[in-house]
Amino acid sequence: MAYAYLFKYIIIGDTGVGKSCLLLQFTDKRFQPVHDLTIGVEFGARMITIDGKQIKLQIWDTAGQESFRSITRSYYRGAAGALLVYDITRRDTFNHLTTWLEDARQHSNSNMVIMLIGNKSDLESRREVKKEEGEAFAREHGLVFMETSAKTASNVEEAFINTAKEIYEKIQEGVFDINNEANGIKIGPQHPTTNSPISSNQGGQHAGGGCC
Amino acid sequence: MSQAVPSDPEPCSNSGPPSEHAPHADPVQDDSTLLEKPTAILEPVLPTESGDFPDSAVKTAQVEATTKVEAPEAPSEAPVEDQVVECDQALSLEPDPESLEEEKTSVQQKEQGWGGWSTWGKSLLSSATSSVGHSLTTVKVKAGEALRLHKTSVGEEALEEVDEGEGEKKDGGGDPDRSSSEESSPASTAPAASSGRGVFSTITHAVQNTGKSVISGGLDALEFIGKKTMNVLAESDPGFKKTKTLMQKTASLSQMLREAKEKERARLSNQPLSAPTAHYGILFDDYQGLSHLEALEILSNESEAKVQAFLSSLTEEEQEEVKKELIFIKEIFIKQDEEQEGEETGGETKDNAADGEEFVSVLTELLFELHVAATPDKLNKARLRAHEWVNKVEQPGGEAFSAESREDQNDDDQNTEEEKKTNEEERHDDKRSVEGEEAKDGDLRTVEAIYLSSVGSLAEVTARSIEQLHKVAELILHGQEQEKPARDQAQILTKLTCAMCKEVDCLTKRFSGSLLLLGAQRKAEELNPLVDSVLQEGTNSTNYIHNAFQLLLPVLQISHIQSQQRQPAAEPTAQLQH
Repeated sequence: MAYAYLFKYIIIGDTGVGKSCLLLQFTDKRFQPVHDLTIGVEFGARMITIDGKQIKLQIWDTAGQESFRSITRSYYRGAAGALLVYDITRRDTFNHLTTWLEDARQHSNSNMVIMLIGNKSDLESRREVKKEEGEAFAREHGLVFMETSAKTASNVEEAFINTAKEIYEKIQEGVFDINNEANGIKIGPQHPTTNSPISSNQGGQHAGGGCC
Repeated sequence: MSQAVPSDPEPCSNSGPPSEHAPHADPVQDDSTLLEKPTAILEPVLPTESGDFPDSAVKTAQVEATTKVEAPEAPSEAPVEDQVVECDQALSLEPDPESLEEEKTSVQQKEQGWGGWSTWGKSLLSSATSSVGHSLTTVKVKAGEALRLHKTSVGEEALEEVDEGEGEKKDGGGDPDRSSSEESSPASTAPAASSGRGVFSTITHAVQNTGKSVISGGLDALEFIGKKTMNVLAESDPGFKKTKTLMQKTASLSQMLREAKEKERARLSNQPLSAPTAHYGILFDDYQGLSHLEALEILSNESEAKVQAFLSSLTEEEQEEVKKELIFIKEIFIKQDEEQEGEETGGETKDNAADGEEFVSVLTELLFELHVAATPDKLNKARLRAHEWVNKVEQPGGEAFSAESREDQNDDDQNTEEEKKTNEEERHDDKRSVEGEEAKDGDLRTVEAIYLSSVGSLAEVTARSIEQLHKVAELILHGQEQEKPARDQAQILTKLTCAMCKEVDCLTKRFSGSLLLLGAQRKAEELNPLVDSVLQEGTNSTNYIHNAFQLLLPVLQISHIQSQQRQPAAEPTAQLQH
């Protein structure tokens, strides 16, 4: 199960919006209606395939509670992707997005791909935040947007995988320095094969060679 | 892992002795010590003792470190040894504000990624740099000297030296296979910008020159990585470029481990599962042990930075005061370590946890005492499973348990925890090879099956222990109000760690015992490598746990500072007198 790349993700957002449930749905394909409050951070990992390449997603599922904020912020650094989650049935969680976003931008690298997620799309009857609002917010802040349901698994795969695709494209474009692990990307052990397209982009061997 | 496979003499040699010898001998002792190695190697094979020495290594080292800390002041004088001491200062909060600040910044700049190791790493860099840096052209020669210098001058500086050695070891471990293309790198390295790398390179060079046997030089680092994975590393990354890049950018324990593990995984994917190989590193990661360790390192680093920042914001007098308190906390970590060591060497009868209840209650009690809302559920489950499994093995006439119980494990995991697919796949792999053995022998209780399960269990229990310590760190930092004085927490945490390590030791002994029992008719050369390997993974496990524990020190220190700030009324000295 060797991978070509490893991407570090963080999942952030208010408490109770379904961060841990999204992760569980993505990694284990199941839904737990009642989930313990997350303490600090929990982890999940899954292998996906993009462009024929195996990519391992290492996901840091952070606690949403305000009181954990100073701790979880420490974990932002070195993430390649972030899922910023709100609950479409709770407007306050949407209102807090700006704070979350500022926080994320401040404590992580500027290239981090951020996916805005309106979760609990199965609860249409209790919806408080219109899809259009989510889209508008995402557009305004340069995020990718998606509504998901951790319960029905709708769009969950897509949310994680599209984020990875975005990161992958950035790698191809040379935006990410894949050799700087502060970017949340690690090259897998099979580098001889997987590296070739990238190294051609960056001209030569991967950066490590540069300083020798 | 299959380190102990006999055909691979090299790894075997570095497996056992390192932990045992590392303690006092300074890390860089390589040249001379390597010669002694072979003899020492035999010892760890003995089943019962092996679990203990890693601890003692760390401990002795620390003790010595403390003594130094206690020296009231005078940081900036010591000329030669100062390089080493410097590291100690950062860790131990020596008074001199200037040097302190310097250190702080340099530590931060250079080694954001390092955990409690940061300071060690730093001392490695600084000491090596200064001894080497004068003439980059003669780096090779100098490096050799530097190594020797360390060796001789170090004597008492056990801690720093050992740790430095670890750093060097890590890099040096894969060295033998370095391609010659690397040779020029040290000389061409820009001195200022990449002193770190230059140093590493020189070190690797020196190590390379002294030959492979250096690897077996008895340093703990190899334990951490596991010699097998180290070999794999070197094999699949001959120029060691990638690892070097990694080292220089963000070398932390978790990252080193992750690297090594991935290499191993890659290697495995190209290899038929013929021999029974248990992949501790992979399993450890699948149980999220690496992630928790990495996260704990982050917290530890940040706490350390905060402590230093706070100290540098104080006047000299205040600083002295606070430092006293912080050192007090540190001493608890070290003192308890000593006691623990005494206990362990004193009696091998500490297996009381084996019967199950004791460990659970001790753990629960200690966590409760900590006044942080951490529950030991996951860890308990993991160790319970391990014991249940080994109970079955030990029962005469037990049948079809190994594959079965592994399946149970999977089910459990699925129901109760967020176990990952990869984990399951891994286990399936294990099973496959186990089944292969079954077909051959018609017996499920093959030593291979036991071996695989043993390593798997050790990986799981260790991962859960580290997760536990990580959770505790998070909860301590989270603490809105200080529920319990940091010094008490330090004491409890030491006990907690001690209990975890004992438990791992106990499991290791039971596993190796079962192996010896059920493999009685096997040839020694078949059996011994497996037993060795289990013992070694047990040693690795306690090392991991111990290192995770050490990462908690800055966390407690900053927690202490913050609580003092919250309630300035409290008399710090009064508290200290307990």
